[in-house]
Amino acid sequence: MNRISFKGTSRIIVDFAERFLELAPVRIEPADEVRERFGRDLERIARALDIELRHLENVTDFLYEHGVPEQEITALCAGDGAGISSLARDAAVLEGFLQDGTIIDVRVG
Amino acid sequence: MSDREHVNHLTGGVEAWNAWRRANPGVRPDLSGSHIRVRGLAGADLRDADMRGTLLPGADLSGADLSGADLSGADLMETDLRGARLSGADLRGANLMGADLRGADLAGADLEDTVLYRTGLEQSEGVCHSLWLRALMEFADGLREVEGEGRGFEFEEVESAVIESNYPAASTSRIEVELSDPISTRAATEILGALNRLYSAVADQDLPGPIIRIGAHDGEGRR
Repeated sequence: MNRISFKGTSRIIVDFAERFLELAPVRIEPADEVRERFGRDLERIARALDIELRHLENVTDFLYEHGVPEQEITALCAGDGAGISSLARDAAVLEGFLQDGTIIDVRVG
Repeated sequence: MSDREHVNHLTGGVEAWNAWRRANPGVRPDLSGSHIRVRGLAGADLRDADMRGTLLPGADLSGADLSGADLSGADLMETDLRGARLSGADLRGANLMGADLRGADLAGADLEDTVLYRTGLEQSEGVCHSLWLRALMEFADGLREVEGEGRGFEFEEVESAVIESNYPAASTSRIEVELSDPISTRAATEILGALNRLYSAVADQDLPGPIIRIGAHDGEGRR
């Protein structure tokens, strides 16, 4: 069996699995303040780099939720948004491998 | 080259060696480039020793104090380093393939280009973030190696990577991601990379550092 497992604080692990490994029953919407503070930048980056806005919002909300300082998130969104778009692409990669069956199963325990 | 007298002291046994260290606190042992054939070195005081390129394959170094030692380029393949102190040690380019580092203290150790393939790091302390990245790279190297041998890639040699934080069990959870079998190197490394980057983007905020174990394991993380 091919398997990757990793362990961390429960709060982060559970949220990580729900957001990026599709364990949440419904898609997690970003917090209102995330949209208020970063929404404009994320929309700009999505248009410029042809990245789905929902991935950008998801990773930004993940960072915000787990205490990454606002100035660091702002820095990731600054300029051409290379920092935040790289993370959004990672989220898209995982989604792709979930959809094509490369990732067969995800469990949290 | 090593100091022959120092090598002779070490091959005389741990008890005599440690006594010699206590009697000569100002002497930095020079074991560089030597082939240490004695295997029973559990609990040896090898603090700050010059062990560049030293050959110690299969040695029992459990509980040994190697803090601050220069082990760059050393061959530590399949050594028992359980509970060893390796804080501040220079392990650049050292071969730790198959070594058992469970419970070892690696705080501040330099692990650049260290071979960690199939290395047991479970419960090691103070593993830095770069080690996580490095181990993933070694993991990927292992995959390429298998692929290069013409057997196709089926995780035959590297069955899994375990990335763990040294948090109390009560506050931790584990994600297990089951992948297709066989899986391409590209897909495996892309998944590992994506997991690593996304998780570490927030883990840096409150995790002391991940711990990696590479190699076969069962669902409970035991080897």
